[in-house]
Amino acid sequence: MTVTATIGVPSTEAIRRRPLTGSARSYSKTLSLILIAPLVLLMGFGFLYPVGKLLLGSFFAPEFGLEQFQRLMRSPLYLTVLLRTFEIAFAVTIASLVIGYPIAFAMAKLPRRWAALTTVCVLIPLWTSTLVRSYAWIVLLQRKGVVNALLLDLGWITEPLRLIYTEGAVVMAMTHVLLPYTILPIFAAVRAVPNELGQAASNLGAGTLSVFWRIMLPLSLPGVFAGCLMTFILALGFYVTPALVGGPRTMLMATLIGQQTTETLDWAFAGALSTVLLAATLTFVVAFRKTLSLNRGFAGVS
Amino acid sequence: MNGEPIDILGIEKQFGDKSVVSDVSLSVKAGEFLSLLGPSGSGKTTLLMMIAGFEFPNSGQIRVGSRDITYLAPNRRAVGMVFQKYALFPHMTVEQNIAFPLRMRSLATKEINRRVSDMMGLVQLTGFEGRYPQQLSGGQQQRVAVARALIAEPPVLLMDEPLSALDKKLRETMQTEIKRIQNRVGVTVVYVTHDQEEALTMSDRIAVMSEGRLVQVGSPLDLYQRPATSFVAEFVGKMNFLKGEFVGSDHGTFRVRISGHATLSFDLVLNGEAEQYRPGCRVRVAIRPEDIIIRQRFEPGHQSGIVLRGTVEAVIFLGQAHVILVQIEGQGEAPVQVLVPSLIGQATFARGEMVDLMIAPSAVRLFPELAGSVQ
Repeated sequence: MTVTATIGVPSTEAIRRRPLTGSARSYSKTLSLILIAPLVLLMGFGFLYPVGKLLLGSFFAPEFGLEQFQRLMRSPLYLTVLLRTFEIAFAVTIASLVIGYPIAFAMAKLPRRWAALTTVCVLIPLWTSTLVRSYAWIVLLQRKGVVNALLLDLGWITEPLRLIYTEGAVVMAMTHVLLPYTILPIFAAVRAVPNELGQAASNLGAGTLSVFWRIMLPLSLPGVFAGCLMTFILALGFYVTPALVGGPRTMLMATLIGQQTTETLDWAFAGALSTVLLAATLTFVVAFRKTLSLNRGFAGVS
Repeated sequence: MNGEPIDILGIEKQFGDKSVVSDVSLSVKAGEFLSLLGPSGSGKTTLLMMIAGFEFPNSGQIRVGSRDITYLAPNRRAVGMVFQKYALFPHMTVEQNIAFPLRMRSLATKEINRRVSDMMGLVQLTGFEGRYPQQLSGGQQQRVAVARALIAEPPVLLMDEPLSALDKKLRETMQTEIKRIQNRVGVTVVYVTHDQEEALTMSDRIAVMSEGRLVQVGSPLDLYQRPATSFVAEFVGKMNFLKGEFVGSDHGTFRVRISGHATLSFDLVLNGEAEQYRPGCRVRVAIRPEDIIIRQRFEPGHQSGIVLRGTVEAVIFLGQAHVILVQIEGQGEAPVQVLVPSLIGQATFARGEMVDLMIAPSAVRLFPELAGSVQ
């Protein structure tokens, strides 16, 4: 045991501060910098520099100006793609929420064994490659795929339906891929609500539905917002799945940007597209957070 | 608002094959303040949860007034509850928290507002309507929890260690506060605590539980002066246990030899547990610290009890009193505690000093030595 200098009566301030000193708060500035240095370097060289160069590039081709952006605005094709990207991201977010909320709730509230099983079911797709999962959807949805074969066998249809390369297929496949990102934050939020709150509500006369509607749902909203925001942002920039399942007719921003960089090699225009997508995403995030922060009750919840 | 009686009849509760509450029967009178007192794991909280409807007994019956509520859903019981950590709704203001039970009963807004403002007055929280729970101190949160539990005027209020999160000073204030509110509204209270001092201060009656069973039910004074078992004697208040040997009895008086003091034996009046004692069996002689009289030396002949000689091991100052720990020969490790009021000008005892302890037979309780008990 170390005998410290506080053999006399330590000030109340010292006593109060002690329990906090176990946290990162007590690390010196230098140590903190050393700890985060690898990440800062990686972010700097691997992310900020190239992305910055790509984005800035759009303002300097052929010379400084908004030439690339004017080009973007002139063609309705690009705006359609931008709009479609937002539509699909929105649809995916809503679908993930509707499907994900009950699952997250079940994960948090089921008896332990069932909860563990559900959790595994949610996480396994997350550990599987997105590419594999996207191809799985192609197997299911293509003209001679599993779904069409089944429907034909049942005699419900006479012609194979066009399932793949539709917006519906993209939304479905992307929802499947992004679902865990909605579920996990909601799960965390629901789990963080103490059991006694539900008990207290029912003790005070609330039925099962009221307990959910008045207590569990409002208190899980921070998780809902976090999950939706995450899913929405990921959906906006999603590349693999829409490229495979959507085909050329349901092209999204990421696919378009990919095309510009790898096929037409028009890096300046790709930069302009990226800038617009990034700006739109950031505007959305900021607006979203602003709306949330206006809602006082969540100040102490999240 | 009037309290209703609670009747608990032969309640059994098992979790898996572990019995948590065994054969508990207990009646609480209307408007009574009854504490369930016991160490953790004694089943007191489980019993409370069964009254609240969050657990259901394996057998037995729970009645409030004339209603059988044993298997009723919690929201249909009209049994108020204050949770250990208050369980206030963090996304609602104080006012919304307190109004919640009335909203659930779909009362008119006007009526709700009137009752909420009355209740805020009763618990002295007027002016805090718009605050959120996390903006309140522990004591204020406690008041909100009590107000919320009482606003729908339940005939019964359950409290699960409601003061355990508060510091000592605030706890004492809230004890008086809870009693004041209870007296005003007349609700029947079942109060779970592991703090015997709290139970003694607040209760009309105390039900002591141990290992899922009811050990003794009685008024605080009853429990303190006439503990039925050595568990109660030890758990309620402070108690010294001296090792002894039962010598024999005749005509309702009993003779016990205190170990290490072979020549000392004395007469002892004992209430009705005689069958447990046989000459030669080991016994525990229980005496409260305040019932022992301590002197440097008793003059022979001036004694109204037996005198034990010992050495002062420590003197602990408590404020209004001193506790003097005295090691008595032949009594093993645990020293005897003697409580001496601290009077101005009165000399205390010094460590290492030899002293006499006088024990009056009327202040002594006798318990059989428990199999495998330590002490």
